[in-house]
Amino acid sequence: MSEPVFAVVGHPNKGKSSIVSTLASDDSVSISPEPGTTTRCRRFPMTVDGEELYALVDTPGFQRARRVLHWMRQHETTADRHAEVVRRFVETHRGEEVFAEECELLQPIIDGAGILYVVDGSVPFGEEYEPEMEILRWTGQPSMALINPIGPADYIGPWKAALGQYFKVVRVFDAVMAEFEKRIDLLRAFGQLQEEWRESLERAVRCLQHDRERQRRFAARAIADGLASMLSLQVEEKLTSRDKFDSLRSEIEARFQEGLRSLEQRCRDEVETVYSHRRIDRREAALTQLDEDLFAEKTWLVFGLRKRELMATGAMGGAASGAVVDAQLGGMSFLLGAALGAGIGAALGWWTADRLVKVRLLDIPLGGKKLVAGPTRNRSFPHVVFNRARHHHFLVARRNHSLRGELALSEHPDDALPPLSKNHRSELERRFEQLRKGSEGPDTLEGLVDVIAAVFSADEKE
Amino acid sequence: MLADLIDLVVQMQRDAGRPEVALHRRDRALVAALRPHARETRSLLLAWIDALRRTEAHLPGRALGAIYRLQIVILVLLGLVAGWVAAAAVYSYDGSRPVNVVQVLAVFVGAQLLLLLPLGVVMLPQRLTHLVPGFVAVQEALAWFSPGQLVRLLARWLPQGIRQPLTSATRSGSLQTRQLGGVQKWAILFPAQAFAIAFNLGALAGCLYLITFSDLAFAWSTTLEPDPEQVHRLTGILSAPWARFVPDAAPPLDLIRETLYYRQTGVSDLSDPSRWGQWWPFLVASMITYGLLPRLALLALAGGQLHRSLRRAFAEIPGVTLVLDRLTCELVSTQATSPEVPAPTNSADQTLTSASPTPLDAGELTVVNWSGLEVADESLALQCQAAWSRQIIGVRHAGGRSSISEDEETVAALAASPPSSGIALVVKAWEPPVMELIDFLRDLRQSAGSRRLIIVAPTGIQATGQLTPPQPADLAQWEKRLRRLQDPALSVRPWSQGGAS
Repeated sequence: MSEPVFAVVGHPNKGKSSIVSTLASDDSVSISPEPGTTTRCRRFPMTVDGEELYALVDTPGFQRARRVLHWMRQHETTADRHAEVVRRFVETHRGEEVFAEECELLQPIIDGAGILYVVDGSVPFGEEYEPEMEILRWTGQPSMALINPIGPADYIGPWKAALGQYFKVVRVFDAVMAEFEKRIDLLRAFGQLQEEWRESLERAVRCLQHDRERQRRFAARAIADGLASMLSLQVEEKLTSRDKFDSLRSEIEARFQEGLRSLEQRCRDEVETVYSHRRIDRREAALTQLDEDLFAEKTWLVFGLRKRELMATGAMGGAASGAVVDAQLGGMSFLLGAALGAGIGAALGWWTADRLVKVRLLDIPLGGKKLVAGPTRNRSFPHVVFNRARHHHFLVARRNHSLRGELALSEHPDDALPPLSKNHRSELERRFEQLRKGSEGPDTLEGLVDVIAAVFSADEKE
Repeated sequence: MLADLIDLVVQMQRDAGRPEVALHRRDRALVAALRPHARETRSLLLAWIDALRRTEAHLPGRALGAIYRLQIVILVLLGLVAGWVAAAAVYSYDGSRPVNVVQVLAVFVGAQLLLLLPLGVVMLPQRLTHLVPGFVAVQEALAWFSPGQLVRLLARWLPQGIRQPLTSATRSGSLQTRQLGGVQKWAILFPAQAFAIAFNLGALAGCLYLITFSDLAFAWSTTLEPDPEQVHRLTGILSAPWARFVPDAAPPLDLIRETLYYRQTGVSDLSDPSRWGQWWPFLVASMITYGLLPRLALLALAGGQLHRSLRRAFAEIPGVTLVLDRLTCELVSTQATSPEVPAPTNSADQTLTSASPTPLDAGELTVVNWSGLEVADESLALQCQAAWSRQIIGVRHAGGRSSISEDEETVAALAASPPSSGIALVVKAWEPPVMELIDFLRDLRQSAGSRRLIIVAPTGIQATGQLTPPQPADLAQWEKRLRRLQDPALSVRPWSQGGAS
């Protein structure tokens, strides 16, 4: 048995390519307001380790549906031979320019593909659709109608009524807004069209769900690696007698900041690649407003934590360290370690809130001096970087591949993000603290990857 | 396993800059060939490395592993020679002065026990050394005196092709280096113990050779002038481990008394020269117990720890989970396998500019409702008349539910209308201009003549049937498409309630 193939067909410019782009997570599909952008069929196979489980076929829109139906009616014999008439039409007119689109779009259907008929639920139903639907009915292939509201979904009701006369299954599917679970639901629904397709599609659904988890984990790893690199970033320059201290100082400060930005951008690119987004036009404040943005106190307040929260997280980290001491003393310190640690952590959290980078003048062992910037010890820095990365991931993971246009990252991600759970917050703080102290061992990094992946998983359920 | 670990680190370093999807594809293909025998994490990684050795450019692990083993052999040979030479020096006897038992014990027992102390410090786990400030530095400094460092020195002479990938993978400061630190420590301590064992074996062999093939005389002598009974207590402590099994190897008090040697007078006159050789079982047993056996135990410990650290490094080295994810996660692809065929560009789109609507010089108009715009004929006629201030002489239908022959009849009827009258097609602006409409317009032009005014009026509509102006984006599509017809008597005139357009 061959694997299921679904031909996405419909009137020109009604979102067929958007549907395919979203379902195939492929942003290489041209989506244009201009009708007739798709002139040839394009196949989007879903493969698992090279084994095809199903395929989508993007097709050109109907251009001369009434003429085609007219020809078919002229050659009609009995209802049981309708599919044969459609096949004869394609064979007769293949290669002719006049029916190029119709032959192209009908070919996969007469080869056995299921039909996904796409209409736009934001415009009224019209009688020009009837010949198209009639032709598709003649093919006798399993079919489903998808109402894709390109604008405000004002005409869903009339469409459902009209489509219901031609298709057993009618679903509303917003190609641009549909979340991952809705896409999965739609795939499952494809399996209802024909019994033999169900097993293959169920397996495809399982694989896609596993792959989604893998993507989350890969993205979490990219962010954890990026964070570790940013926290250990150090820039140094030997101070020669001709150098002016102040100018060199600002130069290495700038290099340090540039290093941070480039690490952050690399992390963004990696996350987008993980989710197969290759064309995102990203707009993020940090790129142009570095001084006022990433490193300023107001940013800590916006992206990271308010000073009071900094104290709280500092206290949490301090208390955790103190508790380790208590544990090693077998509790003989009556938890004084935890209390003292909390106090010290809180104070450090407060005092170091605004200092991102300190430039130090150090002696070189064999003579001379050097200026060293970084690594940063700012307590809220990892929170800020993580919050920005989390916001970016939140948007990228939800962004459908049919959506074109820039990805604008808000300056207030905390408004757009669901609040972190208490467990995730304290676990993140613990891992950040380990990273800040330079103990980015495998346990720390993998632990951080785990907690970031858990945060992303919680974000997806929101 | 050391060779496998080196190859794992080098391969991860090589993969670091490569696209993840390509790596995933490569690794899943390798895994497909491994099925079903490699499932456990380490076996999977080992099988992966093994498969890569066949497909990737040279991986240095096996060569380095062989060199490491060769270095151990060299260290063992050096140890044997050094031990033999040391024994020959310490047991040197030319008949003028007996071999000093104190000297033998100092070199082969005292010094060896002392050397165990720094070794113990070096072997301490990191979690303990971190608790004492400065202890790590001491540990690192002491490690430099290990004979195993010879491995490092020799590694500098490796060929560039082998040395380069290893040094780049383990460059200082990288996470891998830190994780490999444990492996490196035991990989150096293990040959050090092999060297020490070889040294003791060499010394024992040298000692036994001299005992067997020459007549050695032993005595004990020291300027500290200890009481023989104190010396007996000391030898009693030293020989305690074997005294019950080998009583001859525990020197009795009278032997100690009789073999006390003074520089000026030599040994006591009462001493029996046959007893001068009776020290050797004690000395050999001491060398075995305090020199060889501890090193054998340490070799086993270092070997075990090296094995453990290698196993741990396999599971914990940074980046290995990424490799495992690639190996275990299915490679899912949903994207197109071929590039998109670009839509043909129409030269008319570039060359034709948007013309201003042709003036409505026709006195009368026949209106065509294209594709069943939901408005009654009378209402459509009235609205058109109001919008364009022209007499509407009829309303016809085409497209949509009309059949092809009905369209043909409409074209014929329109062509037969007064030549001075124009034809206005009112179309749904939100629907794109499909070829059916274009065909209709071409047929109409052919039948009605090239000069007959044809207006295409894209319009919106309200639920009440009231026509509304089109969306600018929709209108642009209509204008663009109809411009391609290059028909000077065809005009796109968007619906406008005021009729100003």
